[in-house]
Amino acid sequence: MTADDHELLSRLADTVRSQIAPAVDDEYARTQAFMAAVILQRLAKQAQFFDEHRAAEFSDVAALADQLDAAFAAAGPAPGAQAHVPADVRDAVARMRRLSSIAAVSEVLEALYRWGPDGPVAAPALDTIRQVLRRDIDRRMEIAR
Amino acid sequence: MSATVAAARVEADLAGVLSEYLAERLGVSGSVAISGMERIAVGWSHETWLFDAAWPDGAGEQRQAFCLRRDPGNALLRHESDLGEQYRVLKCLEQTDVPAPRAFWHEADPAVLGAPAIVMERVPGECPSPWRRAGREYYAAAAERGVLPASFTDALAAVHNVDWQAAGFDFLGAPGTGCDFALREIAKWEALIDESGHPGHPILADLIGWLRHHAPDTEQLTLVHGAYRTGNVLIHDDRVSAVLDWELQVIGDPMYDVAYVLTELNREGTELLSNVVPRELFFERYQQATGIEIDEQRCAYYQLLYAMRSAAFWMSAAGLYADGANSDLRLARTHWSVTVALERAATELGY
Repeated sequence: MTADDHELLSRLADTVRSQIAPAVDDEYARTQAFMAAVILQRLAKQAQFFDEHRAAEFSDVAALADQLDAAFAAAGPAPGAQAHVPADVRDAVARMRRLSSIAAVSEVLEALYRWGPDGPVAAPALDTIRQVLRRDIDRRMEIAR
Repeated sequence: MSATVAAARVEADLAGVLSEYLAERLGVSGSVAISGMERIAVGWSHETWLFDAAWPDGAGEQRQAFCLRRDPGNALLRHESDLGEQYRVLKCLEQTDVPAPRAFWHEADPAVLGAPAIVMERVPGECPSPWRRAGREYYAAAAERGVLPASFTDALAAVHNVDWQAAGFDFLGAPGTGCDFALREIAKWEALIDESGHPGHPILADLIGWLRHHAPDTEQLTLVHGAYRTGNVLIHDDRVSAVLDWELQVIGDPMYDVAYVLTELNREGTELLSNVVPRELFFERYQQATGIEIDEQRCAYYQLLYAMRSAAFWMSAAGLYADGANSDLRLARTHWSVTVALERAATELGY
C-alpha cells in the first residue's frame, strides 16, 4: 500500500459518506453505505501507516529477540548455556526472530505460560514482551480508533 | 414442493405462512388473521419478527401478540445460540420467578417457517439501546424514579435463585468442581476464535494464558444468563417485564453475571451500573436477595474473560463477512473492533 492508496481511499470514503449514503432512501441500505464509508476510512489509515508500522514491527521484534536471548543467557548456569530455559521457549524465540513478525510472539508466550509465567526468568520475559505488545497495539489503535 | 421453493414462498408471504401455521398449531378451523408484522433490529444472532394474531373461538375472538425468532444460519454466534436450546431454556423458566416470554413452539425444520424458529409470546415492554443517547437518557430518568434499578437487580437475583436442577436445566451441562467453569468458558471462546479464521494477536495468547493460569474456583453453581445488562431486558412500567437474549446461558459462577453488571463496558458516561443501578443499591439488594456475597476479585477475573469473549465475538463476526457467509457491512467493520477489545485487555492486564 502507498500514500497514493491512502489518498484515494480517503476520497472514496468522503464521497460515500457525504454524497452517496445520504441519497439512499432505504434505511438498511443507507446504514450499510455509511458503514462502507467507515471501512474505507479505516483502510485509508491502514494504507497511510503501512510502511511505518511494518518497519516498527521489524525493529521491535528484532530487539525483543535480542533482549530475550540475553535474558535467557544470563539466567543459565553458565554464560550462554541457557540450560534451564526449556527448549520450546528458545525455539519459539528463534522462530520469532526468523519470521520478524509480531504474530510469532504468540508462540513465545504460549511456551512461557507452559513453563510457568511466575518463574524468575519467565516473569521478566513476559514484562519485556508486554512492552513490545503495548507499542504494537497502540499503533493498531491509530487505525482502529 | 422443493425446499428452495418452500423457502421462497415463506419469504414472499411470511404473514400467510404464519396464518396457516398458527391455525394448525392452535387447532383453529377458521383462519388466523395476522396483523402488525414488524421486523425489529435487535442483536446480531437472529431475525426477530413481532405480530398480532386473532382467531375465532366458541366464545368470540381470541387475540395474542407473538414474537417469532428465526435463525438465518449465517449470524453471529450461530453455534452458541441454538434456537432449540433457547426454546428449552424458556420452557424451563416458565416454572421459575424469572420474568421471561412463554415459548409456544420450536420448529427445527427450516421448511416450516423459512428457517429454524421459535414462536413465543410478545411480552409488553420496551428495550431502549444503551448504546444510543436516547437510551442512556431513558435509563438515567428511570434511575431517578428508582423503581427500575431495584427491578433490574431483582431480575438478576431471580435468575441466580433458580433451582436449576429442579427446573430441568441439567441439559446445559454443569461444570465440575474447582476452576472447571472458567476453563470451560475459555475453551468455548477459544473454539470460536479458531473457527473464525482470524489471524489473532499475541495479546490474545497472553490473555488466554493469563486466564488459564489464574482461573478461580467456583464456590456455587447457578443458572447464569451470560449477558445480563440493559438492552437485554424488556421494561414495562419501570419494571423488567422479561429477561431476553437467552443465547449464552450456562450453569456456572453467578459472579460471571455480576461482573457483566459491574463492568465499565456496559455503561457510558455514568457511574450507574449498566446505565441504571447505583452500585450500593445493587450490592445490597443483590446480596440480600440471593444470599450470595459479591466477590469483586472474581468479578475482575471475569471481566478479563469478557475481554477474551469480546475479541472472540468480533473475530467470528469479521470472519463471517470475510468468508462471504454474511454480507452485512457491520460485520466487516468488526475487524477493527478486535483491536479495540485487545487494547482493553492489554490495559486490564497491566500493560
